[in-house]
Amino acid sequence: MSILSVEKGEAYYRNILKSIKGYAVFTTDKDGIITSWNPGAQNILLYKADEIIGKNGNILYIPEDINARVPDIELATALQDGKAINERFHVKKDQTRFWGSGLVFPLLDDQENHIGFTKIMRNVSDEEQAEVNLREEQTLAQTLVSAFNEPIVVLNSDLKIINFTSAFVQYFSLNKTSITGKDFYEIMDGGVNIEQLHLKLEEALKNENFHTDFEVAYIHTQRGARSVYVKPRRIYQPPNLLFSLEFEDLTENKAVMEEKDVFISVASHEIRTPISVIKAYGQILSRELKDAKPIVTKAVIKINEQISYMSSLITALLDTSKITTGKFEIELEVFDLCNLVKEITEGFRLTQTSHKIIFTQEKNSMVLADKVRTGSVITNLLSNAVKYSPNATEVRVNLDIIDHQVKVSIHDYGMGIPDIEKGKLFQRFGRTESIKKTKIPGTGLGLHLSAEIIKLQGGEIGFTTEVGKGSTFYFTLPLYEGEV
Amino acid sequence: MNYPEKRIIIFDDDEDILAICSYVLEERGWEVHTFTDCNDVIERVSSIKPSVILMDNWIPDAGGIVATQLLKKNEELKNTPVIYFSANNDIHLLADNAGAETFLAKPFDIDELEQVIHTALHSSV
Repeated sequence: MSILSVEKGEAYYRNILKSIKGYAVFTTDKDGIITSWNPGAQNILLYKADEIIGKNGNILYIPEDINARVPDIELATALQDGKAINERFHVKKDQTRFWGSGLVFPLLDDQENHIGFTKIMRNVSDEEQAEVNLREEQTLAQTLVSAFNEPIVVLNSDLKIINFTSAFVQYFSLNKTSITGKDFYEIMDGGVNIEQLHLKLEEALKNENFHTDFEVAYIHTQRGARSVYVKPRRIYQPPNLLFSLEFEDLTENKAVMEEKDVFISVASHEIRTPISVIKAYGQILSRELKDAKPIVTKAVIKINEQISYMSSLITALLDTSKITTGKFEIELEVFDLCNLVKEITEGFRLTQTSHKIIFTQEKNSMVLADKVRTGSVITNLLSNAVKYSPNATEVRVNLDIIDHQVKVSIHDYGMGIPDIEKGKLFQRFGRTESIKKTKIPGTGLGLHLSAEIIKLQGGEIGFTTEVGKGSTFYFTLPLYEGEV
Repeated sequence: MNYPEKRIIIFDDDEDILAICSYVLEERGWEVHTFTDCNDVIERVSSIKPSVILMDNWIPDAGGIVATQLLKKNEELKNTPVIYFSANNDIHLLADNAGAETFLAKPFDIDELEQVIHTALHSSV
């Protein structure tokens, strides 16, 4: 109880100790045994005064530090230098650790005799952690930004420029040394359509996720009119909001895409025109063919078959190309899927005689979908069912409503699909080995297109199958429950 | 419109297509008039008075869309059904744009040709 022997200003000293809650202030004797303990110490270290007074201050250190004789070294330093300043982990009563910042100095009596030590400590975990996080994030942002070859600029919530890539200054022909800290709009003015940028950026920043990409016009002094795609991305959360803008010049890309579209459209037109002529003459030929040698009849039939195949291949290729370029358009309308299935199955009954198409359901099943495209899916699945069950005599079509989804299933009694080939079915040109062996003609695009069409409309497509018994291909579309 | 006469005008710059369509339709008793361009469309249609028109998309000089639109703006001729005829993938959009009653996509089945004419004649009242 050495501290009690210090009479000078003792009351004053005690009052200060009691009043500071954010700081742990305690004293020890020369050997490190705790002799006083303020409320702040209880607050931070969780021990009550009567629990800890008389115990060795070592219990506040982590074992690693005790082994390294850190407490002794601290006291020795304080004695030698008049104070010891440290930041290290300390241990609370509940054995949890915190990062503490501390000051130790010797405690002297009236005669300047060394009687012990005073230690002042504060928990800096939260501040420390925040500082570390910020530093790490800044380093990360710096590394990220410098690692990119794309034009990227980092802005804070005041739209001041915090960081940028060299590609950014190059692309917009800016002066690298004078843009940090400057207002983004001020820097971008001239060249970039600033009203457009302002409007679209404000809109994008309102978005919770910041993932609203947009396009702005930009007139480059040398390269002329450009189309720039802007991708805003959040880097830090508020309150220290930082976000990046990545710029991508779409001018060339757009021109290439347009050229490609024109090429595909012209090429398909040019191929279809001669096919039209061959197909029509072929049909006239087979109409007029009487008493021809079997080989001639066969030749005409083969020509017509192959021409029909080529013709469907071109359509499928065009659609596939549109899907991969995102130009595949879906025209939504509300219609009764049951009626559509009925129409198509009736059409099948007229054009093919090998299989009996069984569809008897009458269910009200309105959907909001593209009628023409959905029809092409049904036709595709039905013709597959007929085509790949050459030895069967019927195909069954079912329509069910399950969980607000309309499910159309087409069941064949054909060859089934081996496990190993199941994954390939919906891929582009995904004709399976066993199908190729059957020599049944097909493009390998029908199921791929069907799957894409169904997915684009928010539905699902799939199948169940058993080798030698048959397969059921199905698709679902959300049931339309609004007003018609 | 009734089904007054089996008379058709085909506008197409492909001679083979014209030959095939003529052969198929003449066999069925149609009077077929063909043109390899769509110039003077109003005059030609006015003088021939067909019951139906088959109009190619890519045809000199003005193209099928302009020619069809001209016909549809003409009070006397606007009720003559036009079947839009093209190898273009977006034929339904082109036909809509032109104001044609229906369309026939190339390549076509010769049975389809007869069917679509039948449809066109019965869709227009």
